[in-house]
Amino acid sequence: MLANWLRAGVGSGRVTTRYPHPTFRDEDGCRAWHTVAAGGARPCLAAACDCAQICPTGAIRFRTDLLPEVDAAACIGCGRCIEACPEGVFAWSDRIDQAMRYTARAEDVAQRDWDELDAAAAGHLQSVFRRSLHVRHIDVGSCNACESEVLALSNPYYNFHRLGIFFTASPRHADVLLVTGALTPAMREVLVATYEAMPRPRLVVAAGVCSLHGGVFRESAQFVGPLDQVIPVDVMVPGCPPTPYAILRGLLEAATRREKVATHG
Amino acid sequence: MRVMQRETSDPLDPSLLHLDFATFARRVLAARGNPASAGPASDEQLLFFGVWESEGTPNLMASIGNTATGQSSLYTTPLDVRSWRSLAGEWPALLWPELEVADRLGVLPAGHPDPHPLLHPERHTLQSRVTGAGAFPLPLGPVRADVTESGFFLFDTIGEQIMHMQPQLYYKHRDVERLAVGRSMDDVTLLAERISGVTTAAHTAAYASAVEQACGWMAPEPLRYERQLFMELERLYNHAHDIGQLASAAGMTVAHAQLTRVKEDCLRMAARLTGSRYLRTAVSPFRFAPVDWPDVRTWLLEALARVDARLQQFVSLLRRTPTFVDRLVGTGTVERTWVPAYGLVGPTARACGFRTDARLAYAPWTAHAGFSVAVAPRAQGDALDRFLVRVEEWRVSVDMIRWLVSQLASTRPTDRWTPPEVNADEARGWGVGTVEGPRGRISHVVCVERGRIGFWGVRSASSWIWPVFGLATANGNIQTDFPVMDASFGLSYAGTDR
Ligand code: SF4
Repeated sequence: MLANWLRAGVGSGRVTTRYPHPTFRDEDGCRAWHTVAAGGARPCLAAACDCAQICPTGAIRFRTDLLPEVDAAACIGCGRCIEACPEGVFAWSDRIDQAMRYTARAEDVAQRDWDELDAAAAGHLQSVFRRSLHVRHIDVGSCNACESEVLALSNPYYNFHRLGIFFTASPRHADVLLVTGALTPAMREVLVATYEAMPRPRLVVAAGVCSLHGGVFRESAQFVGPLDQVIPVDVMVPGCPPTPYAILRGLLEAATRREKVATHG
Repeated sequence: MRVMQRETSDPLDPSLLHLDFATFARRVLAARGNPASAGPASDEQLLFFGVWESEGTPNLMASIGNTATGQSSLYTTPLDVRSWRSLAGEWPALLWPELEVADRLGVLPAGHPDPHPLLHPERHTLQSRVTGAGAFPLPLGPVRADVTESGFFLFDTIGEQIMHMQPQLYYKHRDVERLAVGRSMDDVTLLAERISGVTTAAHTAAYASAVEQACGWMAPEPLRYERQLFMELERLYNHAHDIGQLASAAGMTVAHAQLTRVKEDCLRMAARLTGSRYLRTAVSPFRFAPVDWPDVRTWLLEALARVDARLQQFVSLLRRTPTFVDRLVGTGTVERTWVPAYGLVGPTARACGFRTDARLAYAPWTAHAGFSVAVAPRAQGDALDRFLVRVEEWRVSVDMIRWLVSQLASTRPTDRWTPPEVNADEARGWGVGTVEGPRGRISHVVCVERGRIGFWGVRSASSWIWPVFGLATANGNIQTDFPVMDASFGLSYAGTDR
């Protein structure tokens, strides 16, 4: 029996992604996955329609120069703006791995320069993995799609163990708290207790629109508020749900930050 | 006392029957079948039980489906909070639904067998129920090892033996149904997609058919085919996930890795079809998904053949591995009598030998698409039977997708893209939509008022099953079996808490 298992396992071949290696391209058309919308490709000249109203989470904002922008932290990827805009100023983001350093000011989110952060992350990759990264996940009120994507990280496609990232059962052994879901009153205390139990330096990765903004649950009386109102957030991962690539990127950003915290105080 | 009302139907909406409490109670209890026997379930099923607040006054609302005709009825009765009598003593299936109503209104029904706050776990601490020498309470959660949804379990153990177990859910209660009130039909689709994120297609399909019924519109055949195809694809990735988790719980690491790969392949198929790995935006009322079926047919069938071969290879290895099978036999057994008593649904009920599946009653046309009910031949109701039912259902779903995609590919585009003539602003009425999700029957009750949602009631499959999870866990099992039992049920927290 054991021999059968070994044969079957080895015989099934290798599918693991090269991500985040520079040679990573497109796997099974993953670049075409709908993640979040991106605006601002060019100015919108049709002032007649009101796409800001179309967006169910209020993610669309206009800069004075008529450039519409999408707040990645609020976009649930419903595609309404892309479908509705006669000018075609919105498109699906071609980034399937959006994740970035968190700042509380909403304007910064839309204007942030992701490429710059990417370069920084790539530069740190070598040094970052001298040590492994231990992650405690907590669901504070999700629909379970985020958990499904977090779990995907350990499947043979993403296999995050190859990057030295592991889930840990106890917050006492965790470097990173990975939070998913729209924070509910019942989970608030549990979240704070889990965070308090972590050793310093500790990092928080907020994954998914629900934890960053509330998404479709923002108006619910059961929604406490965006995560940063309760605990400090270091890295944000947009998406509803974020792709496994994006969650991986978020954890790599956290690893980069941890390295900085460790060297500079 | 309230004046007894005669049984009348709403003059504007004949599908909603206003009853007095006694008649309402009789109607609801008639749907329970015979709790004393383990015979076939009755023709009637309770699809929904909850509270409908109309112009400031609360009403109990129930939807009952007839499995012979596929029709659903809606009953309501004004809730006089002073004389509200619990029905859960007569039918345990109502234990949790009544507590939900009680929490919303702040009043308990008289005679409820197990009164405690349900919707707000932060206001309540479960009490251990076993005392005596060697009794030891073991709390687990709400944050547990690994990546899981949040939920809490209180075990009462003596040694390794589990004597009693109480699950506490609703940590993730987001009050989704109330959030819908006053919103447009399309905005509520976004909420329906996120009741249970891994059951998007089933919830949106139930919601869409409820809304369409409320608007007096009947989905054309290709649209029904398309939605069924999405639901079967969703079943595939959920079953692959659940079987994989079961393999992992039983220590089968190779099988676990390969089944997570099957799941990922299914998610990628969904993304290639619709742009979304979780089939978001694929199903919405009155609308087709923007999928060019003739175009996708070839690759979809090829991809399907590949995932099917992989799953079959590893499932057949699992079935021949004694260390796996032994862990499942007699683990987490659901007694046959619990099925009618708790109104159990889905693979959990079919593992006990019950031929119950929403596709039989509410989508009988699926018989042409290759659907047949997967009932466990052993009918022992244990983890092994739940595993075997899922394996058989996987096969049926693969066959159905093959048939459905062939049909869709040969439908002329002109037939598929005819837009419905619905004036959303005029639309008003009640509707009930019922589908078979991966974990069992899902029902949505909707009231549409001038194109907006006036009421939304949701019952997901897991919400019927959770109350017996504790019973099955304490049914002669030891603590180390818990991961196997947990995985073999594969219940949804988000769908229940909603
Ligand atoms: S895709 Fe939907 S949520 Fe995102 S910006 Fe466009 S309208 Fe808003």
